[in-house]
Amino acid sequence: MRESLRSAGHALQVAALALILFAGALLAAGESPLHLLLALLRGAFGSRADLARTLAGATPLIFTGLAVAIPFRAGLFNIGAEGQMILAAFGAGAVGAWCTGLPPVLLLPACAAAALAVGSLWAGIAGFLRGRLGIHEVIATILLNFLAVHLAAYLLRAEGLHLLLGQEPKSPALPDGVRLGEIVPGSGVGTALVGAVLLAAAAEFLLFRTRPGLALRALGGNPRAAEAAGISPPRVILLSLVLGGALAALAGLQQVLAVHGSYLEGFSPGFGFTGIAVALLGANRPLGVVFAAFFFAVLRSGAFAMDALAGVPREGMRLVEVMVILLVAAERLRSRPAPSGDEPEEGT
Amino acid sequence: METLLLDLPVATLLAATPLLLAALGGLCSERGGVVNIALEGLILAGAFAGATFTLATGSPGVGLAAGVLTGALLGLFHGVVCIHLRADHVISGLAVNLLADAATILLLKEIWGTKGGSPQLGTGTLGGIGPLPSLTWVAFLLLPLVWWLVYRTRWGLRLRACGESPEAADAVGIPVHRYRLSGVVLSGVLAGLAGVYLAMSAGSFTKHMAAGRGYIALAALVFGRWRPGPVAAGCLLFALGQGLQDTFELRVAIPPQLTAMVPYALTLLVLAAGPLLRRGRPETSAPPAALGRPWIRS
Repeated sequence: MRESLRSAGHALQVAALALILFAGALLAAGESPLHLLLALLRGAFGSRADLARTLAGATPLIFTGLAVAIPFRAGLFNIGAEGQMILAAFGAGAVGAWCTGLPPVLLLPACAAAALAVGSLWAGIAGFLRGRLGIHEVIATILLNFLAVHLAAYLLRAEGLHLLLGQEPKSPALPDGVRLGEIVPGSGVGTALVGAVLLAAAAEFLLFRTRPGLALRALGGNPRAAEAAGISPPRVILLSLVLGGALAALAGLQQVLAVHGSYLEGFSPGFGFTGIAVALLGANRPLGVVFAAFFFAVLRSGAFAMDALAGVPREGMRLVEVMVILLVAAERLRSRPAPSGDEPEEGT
Repeated sequence: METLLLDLPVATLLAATPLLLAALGGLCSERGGVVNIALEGLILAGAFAGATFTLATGSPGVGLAAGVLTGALLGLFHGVVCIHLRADHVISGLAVNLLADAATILLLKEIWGTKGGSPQLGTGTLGGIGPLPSLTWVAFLLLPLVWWLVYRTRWGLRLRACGESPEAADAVGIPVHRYRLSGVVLSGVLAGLAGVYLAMSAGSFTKHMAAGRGYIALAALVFGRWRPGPVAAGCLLFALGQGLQDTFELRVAIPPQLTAMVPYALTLLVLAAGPLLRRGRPETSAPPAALGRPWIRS
């Protein structure tokens, strides 16, 4: 409990500092930070529709945040959440388009199964390469991101698959029965958002109350001690990345079922990469990830308003993400005792 | 088919140019002990500054200098965050990449009012000697130069000492932080040059134009076990994927999305083949022993 309170305090400091730095940058650029901050808050919370957009926007970030945070606990950087999510979304869209004959009760699980299978398989490739062949997961997952984007683009257009019907680069629309709706209409609180929060609670339990969770954290804490204690690093590496891939897949599934109603090419504004900032700000704790996801959702949602009202481009908000990442990284090592010489570090 | 065989070597050398420049930069950084995932962002920033200053002044020379300087400054930033703030090198590198990506898009809007790319630079900004652009020659001349610098100069010896054992380096009076920082800044210079080449050979800056080249250069560095010669061989091998893509796309009716996968798939396969072929036998050479490890004088 004390540990979580302390990391929550750190997270608040980091978030506040990043916003102050951003305000400073705006001031230097001759903009009025206060005016823009108000525009941002109005954009994120100003009306019922704004609030709904903010809440809905947090959903994919919880999933991608978890997709990064869980492998992080095992000492692995899952930079591949973006690719895992895109390919999984494609899988869900494709299965949805091919199996339209199925009743919605069956079609929805079929789409979910396809997304989960594709996402975990794609992350599993990186897990195998890292665990068995020692190829750094950062290089592997990033190359797999590029591959995923091109592969999905190719498969969407492949003639035998019959997915591209109109001019728009997207799969056929799914029947209404498989769309994930909102629990209270117009509130932005979708089934997927509730599911995401429950899943974060489950992940917290898995990490801190079960044997696989212990093995995962042991590997991240001290690989040599973990191995001496009988943990098989390749297996745990594979497990943690496959879990990450499955979580990223859920972000893709949510985008298909709840937002677009089909696989839409280029649907992601970088949910997978924002997931890195979400995980770091959430101190790699599942429940921390939920709060961090809301923070970034507010920024993203408010950025729309800033763009429209004050003409500050949306990319400005991505600079806040970068600041959060840098502040957490630098701070993490300041608050930790000096690393000893035998700390295991692998080269890239 | 005949022209295909003639064009492939040239296409490969062209594709190898930015990879080699960035990989040689990465070598200088990592031999000193600083992991450089930031190469991708350094290339992108160099490309943007190169294009912008060429357009603003009309002089490719000024553009080149600006690209190199921008790379050096961003490299300095990565170095300070890693070395002095003791941030995790991988996280800092990723942040630099996200920063370069967002900042270039932001500045494109601010400066040119465009969303995807800069105006055209005009032709001939690169200049050529024989069939190859001048920067390609520069890249391949830099290979022996970097080898000499790292293996035959006092700076190189000291840099490698900082990457292998900062404690020992410190004990004999080498300023570890300063040497590590110089290696990272040099990587920024070379990656910035790679970016300038990209922008000038494409004729304009477009967003995301590094397209993973920084990471492929890093893969070449791992593939070549941090030694200049093998690293260059890795760059050529990975460039072959790009070369094949460039030559095939023009002639054979293969969907472009499929050929676009070749460079990334080839890199992954080659990386995986190394350990698979070596199975059971010890590695011939190891990465710098203190790579990624912050050093604090105790």
